Amino acid sequence: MYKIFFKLSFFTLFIAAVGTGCKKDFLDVPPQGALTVEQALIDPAAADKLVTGAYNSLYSQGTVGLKFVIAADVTSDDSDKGSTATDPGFGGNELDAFTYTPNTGIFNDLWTEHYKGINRINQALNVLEAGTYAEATKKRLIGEVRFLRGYFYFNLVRMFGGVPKLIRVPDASEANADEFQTRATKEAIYQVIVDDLLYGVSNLPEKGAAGSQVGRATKGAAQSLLSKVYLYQQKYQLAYDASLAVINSNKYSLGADYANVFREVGNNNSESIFEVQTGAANPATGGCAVNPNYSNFQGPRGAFPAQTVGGQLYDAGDLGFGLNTPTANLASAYEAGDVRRNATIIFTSNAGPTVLWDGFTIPSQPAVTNERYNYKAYHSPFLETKACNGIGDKDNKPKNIRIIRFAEVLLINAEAAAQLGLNALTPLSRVRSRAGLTTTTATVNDVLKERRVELAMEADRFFDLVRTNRAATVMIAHGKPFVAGKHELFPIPQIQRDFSGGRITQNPNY
Amino acid sequence: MKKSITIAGAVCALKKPLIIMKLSLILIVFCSFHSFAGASAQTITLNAANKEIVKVLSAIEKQGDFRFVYNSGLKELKQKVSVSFNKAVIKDVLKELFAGTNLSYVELDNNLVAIRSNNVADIVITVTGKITNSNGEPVPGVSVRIKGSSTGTSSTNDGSYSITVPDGATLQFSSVGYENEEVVVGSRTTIDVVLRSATKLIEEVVVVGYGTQRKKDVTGAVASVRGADIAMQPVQTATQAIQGKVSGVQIITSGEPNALPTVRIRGTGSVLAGANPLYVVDGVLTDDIRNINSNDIVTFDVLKDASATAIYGVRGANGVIIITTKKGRNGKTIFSYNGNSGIREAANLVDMAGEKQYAGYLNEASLFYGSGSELIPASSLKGNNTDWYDEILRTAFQTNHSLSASGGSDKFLYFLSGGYLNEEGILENSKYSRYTVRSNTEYSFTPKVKFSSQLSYTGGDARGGQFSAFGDAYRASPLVEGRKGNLFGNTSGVNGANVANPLLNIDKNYNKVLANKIQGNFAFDVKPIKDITLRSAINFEKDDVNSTSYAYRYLSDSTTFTTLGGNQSNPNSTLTLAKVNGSKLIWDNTATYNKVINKHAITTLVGFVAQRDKATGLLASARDVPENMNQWYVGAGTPSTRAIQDDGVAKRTRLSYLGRVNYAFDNKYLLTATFRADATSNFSKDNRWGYFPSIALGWNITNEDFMADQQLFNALKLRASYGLKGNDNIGAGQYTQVANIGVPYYFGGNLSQGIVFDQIVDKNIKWETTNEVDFGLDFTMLKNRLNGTVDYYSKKTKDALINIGLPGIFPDPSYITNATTISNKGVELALNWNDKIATNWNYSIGGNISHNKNNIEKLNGGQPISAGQAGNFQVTKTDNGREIASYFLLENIGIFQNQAQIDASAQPNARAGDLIYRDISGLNGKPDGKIDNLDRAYFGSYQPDITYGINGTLSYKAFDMSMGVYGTAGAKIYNAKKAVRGLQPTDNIEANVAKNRWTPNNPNGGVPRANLNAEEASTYFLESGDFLRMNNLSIGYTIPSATLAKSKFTNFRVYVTSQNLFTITPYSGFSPEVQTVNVLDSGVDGNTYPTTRTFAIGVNVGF
Repeated sequence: MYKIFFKLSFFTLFIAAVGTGCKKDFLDVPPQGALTVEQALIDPAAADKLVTGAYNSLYSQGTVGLKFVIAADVTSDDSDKGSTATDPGFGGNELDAFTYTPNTGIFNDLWTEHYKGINRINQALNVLEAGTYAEATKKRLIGEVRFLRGYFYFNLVRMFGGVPKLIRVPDASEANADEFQTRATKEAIYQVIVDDLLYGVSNLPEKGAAGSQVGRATKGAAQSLLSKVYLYQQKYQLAYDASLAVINSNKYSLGADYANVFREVGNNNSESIFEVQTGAANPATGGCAVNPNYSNFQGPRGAFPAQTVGGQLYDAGDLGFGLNTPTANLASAYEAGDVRRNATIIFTSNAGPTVLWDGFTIPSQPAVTNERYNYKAYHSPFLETKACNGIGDKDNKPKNIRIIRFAEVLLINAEAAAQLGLNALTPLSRVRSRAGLTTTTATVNDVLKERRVELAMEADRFFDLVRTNRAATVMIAHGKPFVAGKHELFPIPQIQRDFSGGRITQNPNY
Repeated sequence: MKKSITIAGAVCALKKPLIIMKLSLILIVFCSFHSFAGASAQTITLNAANKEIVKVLSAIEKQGDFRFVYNSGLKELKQKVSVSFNKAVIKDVLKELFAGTNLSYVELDNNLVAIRSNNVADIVITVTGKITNSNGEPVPGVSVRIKGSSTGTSSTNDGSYSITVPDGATLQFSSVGYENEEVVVGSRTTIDVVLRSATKLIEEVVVVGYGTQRKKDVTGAVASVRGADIAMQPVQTATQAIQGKVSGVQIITSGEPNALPTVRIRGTGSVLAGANPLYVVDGVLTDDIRNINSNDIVTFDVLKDASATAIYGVRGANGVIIITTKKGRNGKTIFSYNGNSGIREAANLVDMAGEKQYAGYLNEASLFYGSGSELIPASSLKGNNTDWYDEILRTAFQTNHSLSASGGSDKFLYFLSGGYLNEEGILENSKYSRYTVRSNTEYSFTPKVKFSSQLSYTGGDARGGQFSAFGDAYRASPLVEGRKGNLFGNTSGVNGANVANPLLNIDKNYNKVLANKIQGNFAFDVKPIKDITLRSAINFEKDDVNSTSYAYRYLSDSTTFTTLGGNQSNPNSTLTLAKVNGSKLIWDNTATYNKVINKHAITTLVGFVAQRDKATGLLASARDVPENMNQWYVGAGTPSTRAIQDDGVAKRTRLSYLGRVNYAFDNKYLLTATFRADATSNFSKDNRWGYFPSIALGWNITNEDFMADQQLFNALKLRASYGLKGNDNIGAGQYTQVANIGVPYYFGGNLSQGIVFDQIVDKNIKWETTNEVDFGLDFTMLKNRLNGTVDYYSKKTKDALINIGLPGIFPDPSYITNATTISNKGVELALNWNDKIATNWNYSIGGNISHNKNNIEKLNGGQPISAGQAGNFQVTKTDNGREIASYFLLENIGIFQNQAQIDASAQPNARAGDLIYRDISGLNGKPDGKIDNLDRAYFGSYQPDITYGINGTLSYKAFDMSMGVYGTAGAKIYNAKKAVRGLQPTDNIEANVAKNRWTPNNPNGGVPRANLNAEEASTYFLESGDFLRMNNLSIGYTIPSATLAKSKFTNFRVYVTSQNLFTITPYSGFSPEVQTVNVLDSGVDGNTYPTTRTFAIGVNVGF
């Protein structure tokens, strides 16, 4: 008996030592359930998917979402933090009062979300440049992601000034390299932007042309953004030429009804040059393809009773958090008869309820918290596409966000023309007549005044004030403790400076 | 015979679950190696002139190798002799000694020599006696057998026995829980036996990796705790009961049911790869022992230094805890029942402001320092005055029962047990219950072939546990009622407070986690030739977790809330089901060679281990699933909302070769050398193999000739060890970059699924390697009454894996790399004193104290790591020359009292009543009149300087008492809960803050003025984490055996016990024991579960 076991035991030991040892791949365990770089590189659709992943960066509160809106609007005379006094609103209180510091969390979110997008783009470029796509497709896809990169860097340079220049995929070991841990000059970043956009101008299809698709960056989008970038650099002739090319392409025209431009019926309308595309549900991943909370955070706040509109019950209470509310100052900036005032601002009252365009009734104050709300961020739960989790889902309303539209191109053209002594009146009056106004003069100041009301609440005002050196004057007049020479740029997030061991310098006076 | 039939019945009853378990292809084994470095060739050197034989014998005994048994009444022994021996063997010595007498002798096992007189040869005698334990209590049910025969009896309830034996017989006494005794009858007719309890046994043999060793041969730093000491505490996990019992071990517990305690052996040596020790449960390498019924544990051995742990190679860096479960003993079936029930309550709460204090504070802040308007109008005070902790907490009930049967024959040994534990949480609606079943068996086919298996099944059921409730209760306004009938107070509806009503969250969220774990092993031991043992064991663990969460639908409306408004609602019900299946298979194959040649004793072990771990998980959810629990399936939800995804899939393999040599010369000089080579799939091919050698030396000084005459020390051993050990305990596949898939975007109105590479990986990550040197001294002295251990150690972890925070230019916030060196140095001292005061009074008192100094030596080229998020701030920083997670804060140096002070300060915008911060530095390294990040400095960490424990027992007749104290000193805690107050201005404040806040009339309360906003992160929120806790206090009464004699019980003890009777601490938060998930957040107290105090009564019954 025991001899059997004796032999058995030796046998097992033998198997153990030899058997397992011989199985060479015993220790080669690839990641489970995940796609590796190597696998992606041989996936023919990978490059296209990586480009899609880059566009997905637009679904971020830090790139074009609420955090960016707060940074660009609440800091201006157009809007207040809103909501209740005690709702911190992502640092909105500090931004509104210019009491923010390098530790205010929103700046790090803005910084990292933009770089996250830039990195996705660089990753996609890596694959695209090595890929064996048809040349036209390859150039188009490269043009699309470079357009996005140009846009992200444009936001970064407007917010922070010169930032680290990242135009390739760095290795982890380069985390502390000087190349990435020091700031490039503002000019160098502008050069990256211009290069990226010029590539787009040369390689992207016109709107509607072969290879184009609704939602993808086009030649017109690249030209339009480029004209804006030139304006920021005060390169008026280049801005004029680029904007004129867009106008003369005849691919774009102003929408007839200003209010509709910002509703779902206006998604990708004739005026839209580039906008964030959203949709309803994404059941496969359990996620929702939207920029989350964009509408919810800006929606009217308060204690609303349930109501039925068009046979649909809405019992989710109010419409949102009520952040980023238009100021009285903005409301009074509109000329009499300007249709844009009521299309931009939801006015509430203590005298009676307010009925929105879709029939939704906002109760009177104090059941509704604030006096004014951003109409452009409103998404109807009744007449527009439902959020992926249904009518009561306030977080995931599929609101397309307009990034650049034709009206702005006309205003860029008008401003550049006014600066150059060319015909500014024609483009300016096109914008004004749509708003129901007549135009007599077209000075630079006229155009700037027009920009404010045309683009109100579209995350442009603060940068526009800084660009035109009016920020200190306007904001101090608006009663804010704005410090000239300091508040024109946001502080570099302290945590990023810490990472760099102090090599990333702080902006002046922080 | 009758009894064994009963057992057979019990085995049959267990068959079904066993069959189920067999389906998993798994059974297991129990086995232990006793690697005796025995001695049989000792010699005697002795001179005696005109001494009684009995004195000579006792002199020989003192030399340590031989013991004699004899009837002390034998006259021959008084005979005086003169003898002289020089290195003589025992045979010759006794021959000479007994020459001219009628005495003769028989050499028995273990150097035991029986002496008898030839005058009383060939008689049959009846021996009677009484068997007691070391406390003098009778031990019933002891098996009394004549060695080498089948004749036997057992002791009665009063411990007495009677047996007829032939001449020259040896009696064997055995009983579970006691060490076996053998007594040579000689000519005696009355033999009283004092059985040594298993404690003694454990003191002598300790479990080391892949074997056991006599304590006196151990060269590593190893500490043992008896299972019995663990089982008597009313806690769920054995680890909780170890607090304060072992030097060098810090254990952080939580009051949450089924919480996993944090264990640190000799400091924190890793940041990322897990600083928790490795647990080895009967050969299964695991990270969690919450499935083990404490009543099943026989020993809990803590392996601390490299000599002890290097045999576990890549898993040994943080120390190893080996848990051995009980096995059967030869003899009749012993049944044992242990049970206790009790109550738990929060041990310490933080008083929050009542409604008047709250309104006063907020209004003052708003009127004088804020908008200038009143924030809380008097009309909102409706007299609710809600104490939210009262609302969400309760006195919880707990109960724990365990029944076991054990016994066996020469061939078959068994231990069976079943346990049930039910522990309510102090948080409403939360509880944990656990069933455990264990079967440990051992079957010897022949004396040379043994098959053994150990198998345990654990079914855990955790409910509720809405963790956010503690944070919400801290913040919620006392103006709002918790609940009125079916309606809830609307905490988020007042003044824009963004706080959920915790009661509603508890009510509207259903959480259930069912965890089934099967763990065990299955082994063959074969001794093909003398001195060699081969063992092959399959160890396994199968872990299945099923969780169900259901978030009920409710709206911010009048059917839910007493008032309208706010944003607490859940418009869509959501059902989430998660399943995770984990399996672990470890195949151990070892060969042990054991040989004693003259004074040389050698034991060698070689082995081969292969391991495969696998986990797969699925997560499924759907919205709008009906509230009826019977319809809680994903299919019952709205189809478009159904989502399924993989969750936590992983696979990992390891391959190891190991070897060890133990060599002892003359029982004086000891050497242990180990080697292990490990390969893991966690690292790439080039970095896969790691080699972990260790060497240790020991010197049993008391065995030296020059120590022969001293009486002070009974044992004295000096130890020294050095070795390498590793750590690979990071997630699988971390060296490979993988894509995030299913990243959506819309083009042309159609959904596209994109992919992104957001990950940054270091392809060259490799083992963390820890080298450790240890010097130790073990001693037993003053007639065995005092024993102790002192150790000094210094360990250094090189290439520690660390999550390096990446600058914002990277899409990943961090990546894993080997970029740190962490050192831990310390001393440990443990002392135990054991004595009798008078006849019936026994006591023991023990204490241990450890000091550890943690230091980061080389960190990622000098880039410090900030962590410890508290509100807008990161309050810890891990940097060179500092302890892990040192606090990096502004220094608060007082409170501004007047404008003059402010004008002279670096805070020109401050108001009287604001905190003053020290202006430490500016850009050029000098104070610059500005308070900013440059003024932050280091202020200690949560790493304690000292951890200590005091343990004592006292018994008087039938009464026994035991107590355990645990404490730490030198740790600092950042009271983050208090510090982030003000992120939401309407958050409640602590009563003490409200009461003592600075006002012109109360300038010296030590608390800043009323403030709606959060204060800066400063030392103001840093508090001492020192504490001393009466961890356990138990008083028991054992019913005297005389009283039990008529019953079926063999022993019956009742006891009352309390866990955490009191804690002395200056810390103002819930508990100085702060558990954080991430090592870098250590001590940042954001959401701690209050520790609990338990009172329980229980019984230990044997029958």
